[in-house]
Amino acid sequence: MNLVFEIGTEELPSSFQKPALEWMQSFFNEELGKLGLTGAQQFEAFATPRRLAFIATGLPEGFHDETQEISGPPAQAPAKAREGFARKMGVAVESLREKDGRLWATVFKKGMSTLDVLPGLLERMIRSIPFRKSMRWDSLETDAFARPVHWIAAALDGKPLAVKFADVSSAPTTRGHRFHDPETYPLPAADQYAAALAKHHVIARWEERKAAVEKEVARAAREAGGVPRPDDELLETVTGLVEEPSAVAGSFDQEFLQLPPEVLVSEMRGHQKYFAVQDDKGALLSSFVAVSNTKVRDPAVSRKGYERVLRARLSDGKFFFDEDRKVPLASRVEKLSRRTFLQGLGTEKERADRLRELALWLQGATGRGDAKQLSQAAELCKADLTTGMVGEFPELQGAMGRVYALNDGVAPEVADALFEHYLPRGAEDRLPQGDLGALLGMADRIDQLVGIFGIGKEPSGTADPYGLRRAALGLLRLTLARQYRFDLYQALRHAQQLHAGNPKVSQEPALLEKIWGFLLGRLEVQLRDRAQPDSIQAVLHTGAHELVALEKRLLALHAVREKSQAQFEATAAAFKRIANILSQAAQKKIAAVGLQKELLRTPAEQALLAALERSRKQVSRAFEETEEYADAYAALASLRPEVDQFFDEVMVMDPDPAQRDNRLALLRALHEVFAPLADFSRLQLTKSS
Amino acid sequence: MPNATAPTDFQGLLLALQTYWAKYGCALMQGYDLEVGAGTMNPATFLRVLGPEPWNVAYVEPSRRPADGRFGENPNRLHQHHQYQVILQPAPTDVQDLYLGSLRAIGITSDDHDLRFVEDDWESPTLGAWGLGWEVWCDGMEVTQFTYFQQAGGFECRPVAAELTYGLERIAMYLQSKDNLYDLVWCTYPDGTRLTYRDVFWQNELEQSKYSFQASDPELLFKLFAQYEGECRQLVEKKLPLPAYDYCLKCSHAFNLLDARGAISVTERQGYILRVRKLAHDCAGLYLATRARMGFPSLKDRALADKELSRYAELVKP
Repeated sequence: MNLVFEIGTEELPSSFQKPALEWMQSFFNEELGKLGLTGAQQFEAFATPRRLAFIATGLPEGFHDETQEISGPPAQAPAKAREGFARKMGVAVESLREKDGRLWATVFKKGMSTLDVLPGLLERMIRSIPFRKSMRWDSLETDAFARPVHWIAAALDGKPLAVKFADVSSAPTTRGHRFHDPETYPLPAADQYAAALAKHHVIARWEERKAAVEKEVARAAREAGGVPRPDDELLETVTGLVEEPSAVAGSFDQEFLQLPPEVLVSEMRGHQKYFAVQDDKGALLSSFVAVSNTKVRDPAVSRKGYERVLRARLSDGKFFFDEDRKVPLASRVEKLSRRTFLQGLGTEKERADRLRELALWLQGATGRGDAKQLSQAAELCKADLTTGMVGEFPELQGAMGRVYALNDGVAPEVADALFEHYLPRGAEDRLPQGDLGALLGMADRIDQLVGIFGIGKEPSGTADPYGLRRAALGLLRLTLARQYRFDLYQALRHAQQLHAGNPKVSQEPALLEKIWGFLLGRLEVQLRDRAQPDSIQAVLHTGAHELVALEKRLLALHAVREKSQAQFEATAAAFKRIANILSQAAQKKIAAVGLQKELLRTPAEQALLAALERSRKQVSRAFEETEEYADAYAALASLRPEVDQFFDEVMVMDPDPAQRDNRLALLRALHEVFAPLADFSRLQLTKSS
Repeated sequence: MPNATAPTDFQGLLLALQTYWAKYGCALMQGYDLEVGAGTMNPATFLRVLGPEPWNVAYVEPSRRPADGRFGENPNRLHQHHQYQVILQPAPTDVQDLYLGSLRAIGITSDDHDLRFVEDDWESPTLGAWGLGWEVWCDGMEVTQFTYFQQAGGFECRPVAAELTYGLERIAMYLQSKDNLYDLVWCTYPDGTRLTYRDVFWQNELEQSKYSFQASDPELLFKLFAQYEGECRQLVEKKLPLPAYDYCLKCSHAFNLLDARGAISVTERQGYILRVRKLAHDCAGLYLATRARMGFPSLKDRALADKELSRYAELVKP
């Protein structure tokens, strides 16, 4: 059976449309599953500014009433088993019958017809589509939706389904384009839905419409003598603003090309949703493309309108640009002391001062970047927040700092850092090219984490109003990608000390523990595709805080587990056992003593000691010189015969306390050699030995 | 380029909108006689959208935004602009079509123009009000703010009212093909002389900008803010929501003046906003309670009135 379902609305926000598509499919099939019905064989969802819709084909008709005989426990089963069986079958105990030595239950399964269950299911669906914000519109109803709902159309194999939501009752009709074809017409059959809508000037398929927008924009840009500047985000937005796109190219005064390209693009895409047009070398032309929802009678009329609005905006932009350049960027630093960074964390000036300290600390720790330039970049990095342009276009922070700094004759590396310290702005964004931007960006992120955690505003659940997850991921990516070697925990401590004058920021060590835990959580996510989760856990929880080394140790562990899994697991199991014995001893409050070689009497003990001394050298070479952690794992594997022999022949918990303590000391020495590699107790081993 | 039926001067635009909405059935009112930042702050909107009583109204609101003053030099920005404000409560099902009809009445049709409803979440932190709707675009220019009120003064709007706020200067610039709003024609005298926007408002823009940015006395304004706030509170105590709300508006304007003067630091700003919001909330609650005590008199459907009254029982309690 085939279902067509459409919710007709007033114009939905562009960004709401695509997420709703994916949600509808999973909801629909899951709900059918809950009712014991198989899902659709094919499911296709549609979204335009004025409708959310889907077609589901190959739906089952449902099933008839059915009586089944089901066999249970033997007839002599105790009362408890009888009751359990009856309960499970949903029948009374007295109704169970005996046959062939077993108990039987007669179970009735009520039939279900897809036709009957769909209206309720669809109503639940309308009520539960998650939107970022919903609204009421009807006087007396409390139902809410992203925007007012005007029609609901539902039909199963052409048979109308009765669905009610808010003040709307379903009818098997739909509507075309708001302006080009506003009339009502019969809801098309499932296999004709998209084609029929297209006839009524609605491209229902998101990807098809997006492609149409792209084609239109390219056509119009060609008319203007260029190509559209690639901008997928804008394409997506515009796709959600039109049911049938029609592009118009326009132009602006050449003189505005003096504005930095970032400004021009922001002016065009930000408020106006226009596409910038560039030549084949990527240089902006004085043209743009606007995408309309309607094909107007005379494009010259709307073009004039588009151009007027943009002209006003560009004039504003030029005004800001000219005003901003009247004073050097450096003179704006003082103004930062009148801007709050964040309630409880002082001013932007105090923040910039902290960033300088922290960046210089990172510079010292990593030995990368030029300290003098870094100090200058740190001082300037927030100054552009006080410019008119960034006030108008917050997304240009950093970009304007760079432009204005270059205008003032600041060294290009420093100017670049003003922009690059904001990178990466998201998971997909690029990283800084230079050390100055990277180090400053890391300082910025560390300061955010420590400051915001410090005033108790850490993320909770899905709420992360200050973007700390993003900050943490950025910090980790920067450190690993640029191979910065430093103790991150020390950096956090230093950042905390920089807040010492602020009583609102906790100076407790617990704060650092909390942030470190948070960072490890993000790091686990970051490394997820590099190794198994338990390997990641084991490597990260060794008390080491230098990320590059941690990553190397992880890759080594992963490689050895991949290469010789069985052998590794046996060794790891032995080390897990050692860790257990030591922790049990600690629980029993057996005091740790130094190893006395002369007390090692059995050959097994002596052999283990010799092997230990041998491998200790190898391991410390890996840690201190080569960073070839595979060698350390090889050393670990080579110990296996001696370890096995030791456990076969020696009883650690000897009745003689001196013997016992010395054997524990031997194991402890062994443990200490390998513990920095990984916390073996966190590994999940397939075989336990 | 508007079509032939388009009004050719500023007052023609006002008249066309007045005529259209009067014909629809709106009561034509006037802008409020106190300084407001937007037509929404006029009690004809802010208070009347509370409670279940029907209310259809349209008026021009001269709206003062001290921080937007540009000494009469900017071709697009003003200290005081004019909004055409329409409130339809409850929001009619076909309100979008009604609105598009009003655009036709001023010569803007979808045959000639790219008309689009672009998502916009409206929120007024000082009024504790929010709603969802759109900016309506005509060829890329925002011509109207279209909002379904969800809350005012922190109270749920039931029924939901539709608010249409037309930016008159922008629309007029568009209709008259002017790039500088001071070149707009306000009207043409019988002898053919044109009265321009510059003639009417330029001096006011210059002087008001000087006042807001340079000449105002922040100390006095801080004092006034506190006094207005006190007056609003004591009037709330005396159960006089309308006079109390007047003082809430005065507070809001004093705050806007202080803000434009740069006299309020970023840290203090939120505190002042919250103080005004508290006043707005108290006025709104008192207004609702007062109307409820009167039995929501303009609600014809008395069965509905009784049902709605039960919803506000908590507020009405002495």
